[in-house]
Amino acid sequence: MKSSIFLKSKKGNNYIYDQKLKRVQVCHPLLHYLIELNRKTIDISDWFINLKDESMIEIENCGQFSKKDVEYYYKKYLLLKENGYFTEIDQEKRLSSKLTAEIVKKLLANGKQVLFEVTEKCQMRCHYCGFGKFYHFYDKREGRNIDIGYAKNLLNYLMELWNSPLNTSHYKNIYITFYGGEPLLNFSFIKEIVNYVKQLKVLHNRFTFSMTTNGLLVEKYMDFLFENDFELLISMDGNEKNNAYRVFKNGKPTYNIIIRNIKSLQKKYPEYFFKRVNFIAVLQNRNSVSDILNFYKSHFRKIPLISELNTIGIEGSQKESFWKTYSNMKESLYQSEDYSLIEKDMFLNAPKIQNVSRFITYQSDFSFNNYKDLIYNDLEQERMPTGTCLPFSRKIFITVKGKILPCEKVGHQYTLGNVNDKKVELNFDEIAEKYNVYFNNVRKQCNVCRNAEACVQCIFNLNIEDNNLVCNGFMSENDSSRYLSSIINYIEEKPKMYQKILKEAFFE
Amino acid sequence: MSSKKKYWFYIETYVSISLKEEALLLYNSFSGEVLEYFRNKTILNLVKKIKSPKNLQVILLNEEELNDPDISQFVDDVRTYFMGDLIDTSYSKGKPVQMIPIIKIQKDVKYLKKEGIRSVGEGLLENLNQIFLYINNECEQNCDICPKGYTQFPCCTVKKNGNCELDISKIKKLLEETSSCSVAYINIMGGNIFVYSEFAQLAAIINRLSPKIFYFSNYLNLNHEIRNLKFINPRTSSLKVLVPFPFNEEKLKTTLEIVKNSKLNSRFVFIVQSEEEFEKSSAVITSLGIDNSDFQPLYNGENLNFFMEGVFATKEEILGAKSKMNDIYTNSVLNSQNFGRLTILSNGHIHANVNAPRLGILGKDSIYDVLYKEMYHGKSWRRIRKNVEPCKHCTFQALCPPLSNYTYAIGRNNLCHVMPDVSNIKNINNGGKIHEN
Repeated sequence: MKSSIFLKSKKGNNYIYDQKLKRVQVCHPLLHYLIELNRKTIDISDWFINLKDESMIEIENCGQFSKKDVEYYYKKYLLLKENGYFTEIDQEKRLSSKLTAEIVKKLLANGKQVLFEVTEKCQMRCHYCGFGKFYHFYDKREGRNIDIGYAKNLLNYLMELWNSPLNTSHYKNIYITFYGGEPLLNFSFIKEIVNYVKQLKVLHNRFTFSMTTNGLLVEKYMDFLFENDFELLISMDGNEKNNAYRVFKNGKPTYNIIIRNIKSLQKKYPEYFFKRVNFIAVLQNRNSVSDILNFYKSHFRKIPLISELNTIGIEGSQKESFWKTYSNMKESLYQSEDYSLIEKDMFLNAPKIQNVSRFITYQSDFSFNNYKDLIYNDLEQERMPTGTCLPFSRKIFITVKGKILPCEKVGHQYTLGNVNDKKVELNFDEIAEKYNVYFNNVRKQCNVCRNAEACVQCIFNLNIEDNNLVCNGFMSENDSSRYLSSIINYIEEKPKMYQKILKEAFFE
Repeated sequence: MSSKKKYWFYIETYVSISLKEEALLLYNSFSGEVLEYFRNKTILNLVKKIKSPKNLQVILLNEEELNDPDISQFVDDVRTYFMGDLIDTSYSKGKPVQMIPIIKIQKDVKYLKKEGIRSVGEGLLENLNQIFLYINNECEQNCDICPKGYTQFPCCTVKKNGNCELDISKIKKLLEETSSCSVAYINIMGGNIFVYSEFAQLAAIINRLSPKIFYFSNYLNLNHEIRNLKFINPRTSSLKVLVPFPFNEEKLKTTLEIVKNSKLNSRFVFIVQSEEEFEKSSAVITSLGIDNSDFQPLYNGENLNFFMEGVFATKEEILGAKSKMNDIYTNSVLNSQNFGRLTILSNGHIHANVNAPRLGILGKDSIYDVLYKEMYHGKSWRRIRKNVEPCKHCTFQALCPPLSNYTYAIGRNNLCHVMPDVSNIKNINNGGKIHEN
């Protein structure tokens, strides 16, 4: 696979991006012409030597160029080549890294979040719920609560790792997050765990409590949430009409009760509300990005998170109904009349800006994860394929039944271990092996994918146990060229945003 | 070039642009060539325009501007050295952009300090790369260089006020604490390390570790049978034999024999304070057939001329290093000579650099707290030319090697002949051009 890719912007400017060097630059049409010749396996040195002095090279839309012009760009071509352009990428080697038990254990010791599925119970029956009619691949909902013993046992287990030399951080925050169902329906668990975590003797970490809630019990428990400085994420899809899919079991709307609760919280704890409370809205066919933003800005002066419906694991019989409900973020954005304003509000959450910031972060030679990466800048260091988070690198998720998963978005069939009130069962060798098998199933495609360096594809969103699976994120050279051009187009259109994004976009 | 045409003029992304007050330096990281301009307002203003956030290193030049002799010359120079180019605006429908390289560290300390929920301590131990352990300060030699040497480069040292040793249990704990991070080198220093009371136990612990180990010793402490030498594992460990002046050639010869017989990899480091010592060392290296050797200059307070001639860098030497963009990024955010290093003195004091304030005490302060302190305040690891006089005014600041310990000893940061005395600038250097108005 060639390292250099050509791009043409909407404005017709030529660029060259070298995937190995992670550098993009403007390219004169004549240089472009020479590089194209070379790609057609013409020996460019022979071609240049044989070029007659009086020869003129014609380039469409650019006119004719003399041999002297050609000579200049030939020399520039050689300079680029001497400095690593136009080489081959050994992507197979680059993506050949394997996960080991030691790595998995270290990742767990350095995780960022412990996520408890507090209860399966919920007062609501949202039309598109992840545990509802649209989806399979989750344990049947039976209204269970998580056993407090499971949670304490797991925290004790994790504490040993957090206090061990495997933990390489100091004063790092760990989120203790409560998730449901509606977590506040099992308030006694939350209260006990908060108190339990507060007395843990951890050496190198601090904790932040957080919760995703439907908002129905927020008023009832707001003193506790405030006192424990909870980061609160309240789910609501916008105004009453927008929120129509979020209903009680009996089908009655929830909007008015939730709004009353939120207003009450805002009134009693305005500073806390300003700093620690945010919203998440699901985009569907009864709202739009514009509706959602307008609602939250006018009611709460907040910019909410907006998520699309999960398109993975849809029940066969529900497909038609699902796609009717589904709404695509990009389409919704582009249909907005006030697109620029929305983009400004959403900034790093706006798809185009997100693409640019991801590109700068992962595909530029001047962006590094940490100081060490800068010093030992090894562009060919082996890594694992896909954009899958390595197990426990971000979080550990525990279901009400004590199943241990790498994330709440991963189907329950991919359980990595179990916890009960007696022990924690995590076999790091087995976990590493599982991931290595999954990676192997997708590796063939990754090895020839043009987006391997900036891949965001999670293997759990693919049919990962099938070794002939098709990756949704695969990019051919043409796909990649189009994708990179879209990034250049954006920067050409809004050059001032480039430095703003550079300054403000940080990824963990 | 037709006079009616307009052009997009741009600077390449592999070119570093350094603009300081009245001076401009363009450095081509592919060829190592430079262009320098002084006090040329037209050029300085043009480059300011090129560097403005809205322009992203591309500006429009029209016929009138290109007829300006300064601009015309500048554009020619830039094109000649492949530092940028002109593109006829008629070739496209609008302005191109350059994705200009502005270094970005995701775990940037300044950012993490502001970001309340995150911590400067994220992945802290991963930064640790090299540990210097001064296990004792006992030594029978009476070298002139002591104790100056260790403040300037890795060197043994004795303290006059009583002997002390690092407690083996504290060393063990430190090595356990750092076992899962990426320490690549451990340096065992003294005093005379071979008289350390727990040498065998220390070697046994260290031999099991993955980092590469260097044992530092004065040659005079190695010129008789050393019982403890046999505990060193030749697969993972090497010797650094320090040879200060004046040295005894016969004794050095004996040391060389002992080292050879030990089968340990070794390097002889001659500590020189003058040109004469440098020549004598070279002669001995040849006559004794020493394969692996280095010279380490020592500043003694009276040999500034020796340093100015032998150590201070000229422009040609700096450019001869052919820095790549990554070197430039590195020099603009951290001190690569200090970064990741920790020194523990025989009294237990822990420093990121022995010339900087103490960060903690071994056994009392956790390694996490010590590293956090250095990461947060960055007195040594992030001590860079951008922040010190007079380098912060110099266009070469990111091309120069990092601030070394000699800067503390000599008392100046610019150990170079670079800071421009414009009246003396005449020459083309390293293929590039220097211009002055």
